[in-house]
Amino acid sequence: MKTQDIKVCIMRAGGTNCDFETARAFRILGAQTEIKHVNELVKNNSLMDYNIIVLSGGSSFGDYVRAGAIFARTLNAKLGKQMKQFIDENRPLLGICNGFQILVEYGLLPGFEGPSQQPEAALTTNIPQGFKCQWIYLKNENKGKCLFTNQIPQNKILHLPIAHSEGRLLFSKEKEKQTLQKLIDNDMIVFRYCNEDGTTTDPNGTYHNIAGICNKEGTIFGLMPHPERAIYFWQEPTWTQKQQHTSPYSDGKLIFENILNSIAKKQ
Amino acid sequence: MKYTVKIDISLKPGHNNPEGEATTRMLKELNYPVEQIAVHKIYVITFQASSQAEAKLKADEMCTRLLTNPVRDNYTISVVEQ
Repeated sequence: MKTQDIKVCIMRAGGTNCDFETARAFRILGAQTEIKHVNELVKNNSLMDYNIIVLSGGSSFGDYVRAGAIFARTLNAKLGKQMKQFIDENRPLLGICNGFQILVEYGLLPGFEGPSQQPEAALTTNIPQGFKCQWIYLKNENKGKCLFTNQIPQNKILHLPIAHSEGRLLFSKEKEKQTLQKLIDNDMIVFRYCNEDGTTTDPNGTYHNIAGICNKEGTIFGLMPHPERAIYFWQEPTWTQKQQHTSPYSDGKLIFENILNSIAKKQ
Repeated sequence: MKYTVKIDISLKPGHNNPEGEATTRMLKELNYPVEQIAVHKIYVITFQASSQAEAKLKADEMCTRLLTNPVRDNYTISVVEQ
């Protein structure tokens, strides 16, 4: 499949943001993009028209009940059958920030045995408590499972921004260690927070410094940082301090480029 | 018959409680001898059910389907007949 034939749907609802930035990221790389309200997809029965679905950032449905909880149940109730088909066909699904929270609440991540009836993880209040808005480094720890990062060298450090209050990934206390082992064994950890030199850091109290995970198949990927806000070099906080820029782009582009290449190669 | 249920959601033991800890610190700054704060969320929901048992069952369903995340939340349900 040629990149220009790949159709990306950025799904929105009340409270979604960064949908335009996400669409732009895919568009500048040559893919077709559409921003669709979830009700429009229901009305037109059109989810399967797309090759990639993205759940972008924001505070969907006001983050009421828990961040991502209402959007996840809305998706399941209104688009459950199409979502199942989309996932069963291993079409890629990306969740950024609130999108990651939605994927977790839906039971799609980690989803060790496929989508679970109830969440198997939680993305909850940061430690220390409060909204965390900063640029941070991430290490690509994935060994090649994740379709969104498998062309990015392992251990490469990326620089991306975070902006969230509820980004602390946690698992059931009784199964915490077993869950971590399963994530490692199945190559489901994608990004961990780190410093510029690669040593781990912890901006929000998240378990094992995890910033992003994928499912066992590597087709569903959720991360708290915002790659769509780091597409061009001039979006980086230190861009004026650098004398020369070798590329007009920034690290976030790698993730969008990677998934488009993965689809183009596959089909 | 109309029933009102009160669903009280709390954090499971062992999980960190940043909201309670931040509030504890602030109340201490205000010179209150606070030792610990548990932050609960309470939903008071009114709906039709044929019996108290059915009201409780429906409330339990609401918890498992939306209101709680089993990874971090405990909950209790009390039913008030109206």
